[in-house]
Amino acid sequence: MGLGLAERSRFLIPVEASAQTSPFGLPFQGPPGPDTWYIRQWYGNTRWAYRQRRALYSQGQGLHFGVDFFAPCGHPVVAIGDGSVLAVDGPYGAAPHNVLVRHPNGWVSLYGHLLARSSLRVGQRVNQGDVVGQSGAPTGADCDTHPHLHLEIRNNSLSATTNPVRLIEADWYNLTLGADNEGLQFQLDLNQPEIWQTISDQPDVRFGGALLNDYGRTAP
Amino acid sequence: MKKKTFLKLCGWLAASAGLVGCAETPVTPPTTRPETAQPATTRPENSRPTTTNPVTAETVQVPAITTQYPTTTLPQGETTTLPVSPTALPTPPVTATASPAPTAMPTPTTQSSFSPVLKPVVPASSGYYFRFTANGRMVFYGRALNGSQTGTWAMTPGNPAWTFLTPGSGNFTTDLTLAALNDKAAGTTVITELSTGKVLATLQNRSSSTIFSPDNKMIAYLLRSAQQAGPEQPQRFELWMSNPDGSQARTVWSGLEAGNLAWFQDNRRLLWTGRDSANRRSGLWVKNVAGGDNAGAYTIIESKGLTGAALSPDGQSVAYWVTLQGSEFSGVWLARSDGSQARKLPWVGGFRWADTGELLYVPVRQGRETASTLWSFNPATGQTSRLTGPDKVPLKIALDQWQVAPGGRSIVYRNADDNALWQLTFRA
Repeated sequence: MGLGLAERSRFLIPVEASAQTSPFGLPFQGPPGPDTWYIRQWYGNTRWAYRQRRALYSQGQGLHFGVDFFAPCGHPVVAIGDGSVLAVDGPYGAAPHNVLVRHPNGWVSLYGHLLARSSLRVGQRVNQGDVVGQSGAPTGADCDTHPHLHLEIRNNSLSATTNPVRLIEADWYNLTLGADNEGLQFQLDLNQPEIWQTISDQPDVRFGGALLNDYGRTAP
Repeated sequence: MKKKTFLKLCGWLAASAGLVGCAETPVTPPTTRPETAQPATTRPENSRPTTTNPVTAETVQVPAITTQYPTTTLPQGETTTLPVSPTALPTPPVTATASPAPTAMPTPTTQSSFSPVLKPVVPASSGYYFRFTANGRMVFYGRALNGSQTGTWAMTPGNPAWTFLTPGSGNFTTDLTLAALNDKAAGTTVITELSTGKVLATLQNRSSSTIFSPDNKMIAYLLRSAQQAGPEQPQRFELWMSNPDGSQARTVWSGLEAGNLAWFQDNRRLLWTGRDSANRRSGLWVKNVAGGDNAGAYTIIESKGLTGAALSPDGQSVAYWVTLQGSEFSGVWLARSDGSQARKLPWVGGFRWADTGELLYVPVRQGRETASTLWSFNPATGQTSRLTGPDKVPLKIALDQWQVAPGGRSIVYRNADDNALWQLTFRA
């Protein structure tokens, strides 16, 4: 993982989680691969997020406030940690279906773009590795266009998200398989080319906050 | 070299490259390992071959690391070869939840006696959009060493001098005569003569990435439509081309989800990935754009999930990804550039063409491997060879950012441990 400019990032730190830096696992059980799942978009200042800063991500300060895992529709998605179901298909975005799990350490995980409504019930206990749903696509019917799981980690009040890379123990760079695309590269502020260019150096997102990436000079 | 200087540099290198220590021991050349080539399959294998890990069965070799980095304590221009003891390599477990799917790890056919050499090239948090020109110079965006000037620079790895090209960022001709500089705020791309600063054209193309034909006589870009059905719907594009001065601008194709635009070396054809407007045909497209050819674009490979296409330098072959199409079809593929002889390759990982005609690749790591391996695939023979491995250099590439230098003897990559650009030379 690259070295970041830590002073540029202010991280959310729930009290219970502060002593445990990587308390979660990945949202899939099997190994990554071109036919199973792989990472298609990082959290934060991605090129795709910059393009969508005034549209898809306007409420997320212009940043991609989760990690996207490409997977074929129907691929099982599992809880990244123990917890209880907070919501099923609640008003938290990532259509057409989502599940939220509240964890004892203060974080809430969101599993979005699920294929169908999860069979879990609100309040139900889940353990890390339990299936919470099936991966789908944002448009629902079209599994040929961007089929993926959108994984968020929100704070206790659900008002902000943090970078899952900081909280999930994984060999992150290896999970892209080397299949490059604009979601796997970061938008460059030409005036400050040092900021937000690594997978670990990405700011927290507060919903409804001002855009963080409305750069005057930028590339590409 | 004086021992004090050696220790200082050793510590810097350890911190920079994620190495664990230095020892003043002689460099031991790797042993030659003649082994049988594993030919590439012409169709996907039904059974998964056994994974071979060439690392654990070998004696750990001592890599040579050379630096001419301008911010080290060494005098400018002094070259130092340091023996460095790499970390003991763990044995990959049989299964691991966070490890990639076992893929066929090619058996090395040859093992050079050359000891790979690592050199720092550009410091941390700089060197963006780096690529090589035809004569071996590297072009990148970043901030000046010991200064505040940001812009696009050119330099030759091994030479600490940087040449300032322009304050902007964009694409360049391989001879560095022309630039297509993006201005996001204005929504334009400015075609500029670098030597004079003369503006040849200002394209109102929403600052789309604009590429030059190999002879510098034409430009092309994929224009993303401003009228989209929705951000998660298939994105609409138009393929435009014109002369560098903007004259004879015309649309030559329109469709969905387009990317990977590239010129053939003959300056007459363009290649890209995408779907047709009706969202029926998906795959790898070619269009003859030479004057008088009114034929439409056509697919040379039709497949869903096709992405990441890269033409070989001679334009004869194309490598590409197919993803999420089942185990039989998903993976890295290679075909002739007319679409014939398509075959799935026996490895999965990031790849780049070298001007030697080889396809260099970095397979996804297996099990608990902590560093990557660089391999070469010869499309003509189907032979693979390991160029270096974790036992030789701690190759950790960040963000899939790596490029092959002209001549095919080295790569420059962004090191995941320090976010700097390093050069890995793997051939004499």
